[in-house]
Amino acid sequence: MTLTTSAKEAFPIFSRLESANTPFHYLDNAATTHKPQCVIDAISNAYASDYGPVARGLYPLAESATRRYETAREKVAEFIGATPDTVIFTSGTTSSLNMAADHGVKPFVEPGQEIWVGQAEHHANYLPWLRVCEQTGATLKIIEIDKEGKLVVPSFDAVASGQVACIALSLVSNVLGCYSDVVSVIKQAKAHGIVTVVDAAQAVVSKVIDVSQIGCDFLAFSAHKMFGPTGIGILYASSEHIERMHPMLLGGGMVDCIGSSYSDSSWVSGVQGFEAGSPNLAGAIGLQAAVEFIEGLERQKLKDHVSQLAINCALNIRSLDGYEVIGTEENWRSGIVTFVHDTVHPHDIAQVCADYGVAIRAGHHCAQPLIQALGYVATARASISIYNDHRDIDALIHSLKEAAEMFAL
Amino acid sequence: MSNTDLYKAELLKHFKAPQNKHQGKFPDDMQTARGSNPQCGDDVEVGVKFSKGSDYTHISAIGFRGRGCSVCLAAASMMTVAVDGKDIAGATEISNRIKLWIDNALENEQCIPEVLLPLSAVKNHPARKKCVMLSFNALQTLLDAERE
Repeated sequence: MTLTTSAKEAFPIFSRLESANTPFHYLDNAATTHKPQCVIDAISNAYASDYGPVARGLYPLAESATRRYETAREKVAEFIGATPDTVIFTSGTTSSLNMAADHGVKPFVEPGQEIWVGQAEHHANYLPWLRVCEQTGATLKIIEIDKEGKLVVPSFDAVASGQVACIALSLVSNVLGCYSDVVSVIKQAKAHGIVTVVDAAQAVVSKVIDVSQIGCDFLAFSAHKMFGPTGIGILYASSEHIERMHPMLLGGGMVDCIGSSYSDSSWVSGVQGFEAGSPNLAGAIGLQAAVEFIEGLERQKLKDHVSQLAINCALNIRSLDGYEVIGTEENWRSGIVTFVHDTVHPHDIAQVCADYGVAIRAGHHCAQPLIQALGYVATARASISIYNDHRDIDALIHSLKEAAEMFAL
Repeated sequence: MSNTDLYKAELLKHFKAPQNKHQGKFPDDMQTARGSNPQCGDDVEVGVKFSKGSDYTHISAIGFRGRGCSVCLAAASMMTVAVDGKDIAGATEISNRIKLWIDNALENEQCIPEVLLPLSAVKNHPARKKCVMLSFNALQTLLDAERE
């Protein structure tokens, strides 16, 4: 039994969808990953055995539900090197980044300041900052990337005190797969009093995240890209920012005392002040199960497997007539391989792949500024995870040949 | 060739040898409108020459140009064939029907011009419906403007 076979067996969707006549080659893992049985069971059991209101009731089920929810928070905090009082449950990365932008950063931005974002950002780590700038009179500056996808960070020597309010960067690009060395940027930013935000959505499944080592003020990711359920993610906010951040949602569970006006009202302290409404208990338990699943894997071996498969995939595509693979071998190691054909539209490529049971993505991948900067209107993307093997790549390559032949002009 | 349902021979024929495709700018006597989809970069411009008769105005010349996937370009080619020579009411009727048909909301498929029928393959692919409708939407813009 190979490493991948044993990993794949943990994911029931493959045995249910695959058959000799209907192949299923899932290569869209940068969009979302499939769920192992242990995560599915954890969610199911959460509803079947543990479900109750969180932080609301005085009866045993409510109390145990609250304990389960907080245990999940502790587990997720430990997973990223944080303490539970800095981990806010949200509905996912997009919600987390909007919360950080609108309520963690915007209230403290002055007109004329700058906000820096990377050129390869996903829309979720671009648009909120664009809006903050419009609403505050700040200016959005793009940190460009070089041909290898590396950030070309401006010298901090030329940055005046108070000039830059915030820097928001992704750890791994969802298009190029490149890993950004945000640690050195954050270190310099800190020395200049600049708030730092990290989008770890694409990184969390492949990188060991340690916020104490990264040193950022905020960090966001979703469960669904790391074998967990949809509808839940986290925003890590450093203790300093937990103290000063404004609540995004107002409602039940986050109120300390309602005053005669909004400004007279007070909120519960800590992360619970940012989780208005009934918490997503099953989601939190599912995320905890995903964390435990990942921690139980032979992470380095599987990472090496994903990297090698992605490199093979990229080199195979590159050897095909008319196809161009974007990026470098170093980028592909994260499992993301983005490519185009001279004449065949990415949607046509993806459609032919679909006909052969190969799931890939085509379009701008929610990163229009990057796709435009690269000079494309759309691209195709294959993204690899722990359950993929050479048969998936072979099926992809066969599909790509067929697509090129079918649409040859 | 793959046995895929979507890329039927007629679709591929129109993609590879499109009808009424213009390479350069449209002549000045043609009205133009664009349909684009930033999601995939498809961008099609439709040009129509309207000729006024004593009783009605009809399409005396039509063409398209632009870039897009095979479905987008084949649909644009088929559209030009389907409405060429039609009066405004007839072309509008076809445009309205195709919208309903592609959404599976048209009861009688027989009222769809034969040249457009290969597009039925797209009805089971929701993400590709926009590709079909780009050129029809541009046509509709021109018909609405001419009617006013």
